Amino acid sequence: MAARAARRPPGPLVLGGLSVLLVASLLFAAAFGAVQLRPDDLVRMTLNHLFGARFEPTWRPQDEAIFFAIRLPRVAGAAIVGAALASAGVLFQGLLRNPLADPYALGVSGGAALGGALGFLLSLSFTFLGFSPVPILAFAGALIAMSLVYTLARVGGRAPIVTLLLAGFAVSAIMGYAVSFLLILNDRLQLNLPRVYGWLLGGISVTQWSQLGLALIMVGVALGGGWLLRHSLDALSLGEESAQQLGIAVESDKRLVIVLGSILTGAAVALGGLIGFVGLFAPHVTRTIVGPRHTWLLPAAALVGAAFLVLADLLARAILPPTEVPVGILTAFVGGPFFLWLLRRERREYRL
Amino acid sequence: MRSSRSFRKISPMCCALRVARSALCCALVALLLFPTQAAPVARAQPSPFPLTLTDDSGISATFAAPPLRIVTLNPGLTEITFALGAGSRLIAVDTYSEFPPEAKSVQPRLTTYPSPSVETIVGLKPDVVLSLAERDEDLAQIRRQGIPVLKLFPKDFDATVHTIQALGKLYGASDAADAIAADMLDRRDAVIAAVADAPRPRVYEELDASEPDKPFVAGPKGFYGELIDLAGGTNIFGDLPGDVGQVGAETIVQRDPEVIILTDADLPFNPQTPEMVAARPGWDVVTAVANDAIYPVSGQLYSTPGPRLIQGLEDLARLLHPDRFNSLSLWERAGVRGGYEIKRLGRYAPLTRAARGLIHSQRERRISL
Repeated sequence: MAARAARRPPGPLVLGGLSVLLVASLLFAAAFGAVQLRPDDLVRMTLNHLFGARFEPTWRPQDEAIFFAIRLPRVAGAAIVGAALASAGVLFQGLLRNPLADPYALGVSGGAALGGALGFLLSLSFTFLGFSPVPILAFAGALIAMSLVYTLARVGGRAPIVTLLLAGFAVSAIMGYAVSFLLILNDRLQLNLPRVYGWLLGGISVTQWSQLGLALIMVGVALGGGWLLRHSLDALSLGEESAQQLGIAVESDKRLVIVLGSILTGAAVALGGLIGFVGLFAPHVTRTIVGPRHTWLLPAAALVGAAFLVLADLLARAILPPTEVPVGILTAFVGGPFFLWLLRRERREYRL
Repeated sequence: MRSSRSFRKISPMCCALRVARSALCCALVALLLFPTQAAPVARAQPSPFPLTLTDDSGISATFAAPPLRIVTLNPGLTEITFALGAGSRLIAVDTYSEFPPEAKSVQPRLTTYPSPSVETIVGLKPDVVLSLAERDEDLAQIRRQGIPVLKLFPKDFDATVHTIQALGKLYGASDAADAIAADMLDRRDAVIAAVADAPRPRVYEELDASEPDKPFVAGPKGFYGELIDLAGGTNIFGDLPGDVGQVGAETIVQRDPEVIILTDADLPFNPQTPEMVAARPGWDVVTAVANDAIYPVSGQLYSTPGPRLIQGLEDLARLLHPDRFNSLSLWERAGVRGGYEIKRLGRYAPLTRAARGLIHSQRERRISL
């Protein structure tokens, strides 16, 4: 154990390296897209915009609109969603001590799908802080499903891990099939089937900077809160009883972890629908780099998730121009083989 | 019991329909003026029945007589059936069939997603089932019960006209069908002629913007794309592989449409308005937005394979080339901008006088018999 730990690079170095990686992928994703813009134009545009430089525009006004109003919010949104999903994955994997746990483990996928489907179904037309009804209802569905799971799993003041997992699975399945039933019952949803399906596959959808502000605050607060719970998470990974013996307030900390994970997942769902794989894959990959201690694992996984989703979203935007590909397809296509390669390379029994 | 009654009621009418189908102009006049004298004229004409029709999936069905119990599983096929005066012979339609208004009262209304109930359809004992998109396996099961099925999926304007004529033959209403077909083709040619030498504006046609930063748009194929071409526009997404695609807002802004057509203006979900489009971030620089050339239309008219397709085409051509269409037609007087008014008027575009007279006479005869 000690020998393996010694081979690992120090945490701060990893965080620094990953930050550089994230910045590089942000720049890369901003420079490319469905529309080709000249890199030197982009630099001049940005200098004009941010620092009041007065370069003569050699570009069309459309190019400026594309870059600032459409592409940059989307890139930033992908980073936020990726970070949120990855850190939620870390929290739930740590809490549930299950390598298959992901941000959707506690019923979120079903709840968000049901909320989103209702958003498509009801002819609502309002916006709240830049969000349209579908993401708002998906967010609400995610939180409702998780609190339902937690309530159902509580027996005599405790929520055993296995019960949580099973209740999460059951609630998610029930709500997921409720979506299918709604589809059959309702003409309107049937008509909208490809759209509902596309939304379920996930895709970053940012239409206003105000959305990003709100999501950034939620994700930042939840990530900070999760980091404060890092020692509890480390202890919980030894098992609930051991954690209790180490003096951890197990039940209250578990509840806190679930609340923080819910906020992270809810924010991700609101901006990106149900994007699979990031929340499962980023924590595992990060663990092979920095090890299982949550002090480094949580922030490092957030950086990995952000960089990964920024690049996956770039592919979604640019791989088949002018068609948009749902980003969930790409996270699985790109992330899946890489993950399998990593598993093979490790050549040892998998441990959390 | 019920079926035999309706059979007795309708079968003499079918004789009359057969007359009408094969009759020339004079026979038509005779029918209109002296319905009782029409029958002898009819006997001089060879009957097309037994009639063998081959559907769009290449499967043939033979009919001994015009079907009296018809099931349609698509709104377009329902519309055509009503337009040909055979609406009263519908014994079931799918849940989307809502035009003409009479279609809403046809019972039962069959769900088609994820697949239609073969049991229910067989239990209705139809003489023919008309399908557009159902799975071949389900249709084969219906056929195995001895019920003829026609899978008709016209992909463009001409194919739609052809489908109307084929169903006209089947219903014994060829004259009505030919009249509608001629009307549609004439009016289409008139549109083509009117816009022939006009500059072709860049058109962006939006089908669904549930996610406004990556909407679904009209590609080059299918009715949406074809109507843009015929109406004298340049589809900015003519390079998509199919009839519909999901594209990023980046590309839309970059391709800078001169006209924006919102067929998603009357969707039951996330309907879009010109104001919403103009307010999308980054869209203010788009020419169509700057020129206020964003038009909400009735999406049904642009995509339903049926007689109203010509209305969609004329509607679109007027929006793209307002200067080329001076004479206002009936529905246009209700208001040019937008399809809402068109929808509210709710009836078919004016048929040629002959077709209208024929359909009218069929209705009269049905009542009197």
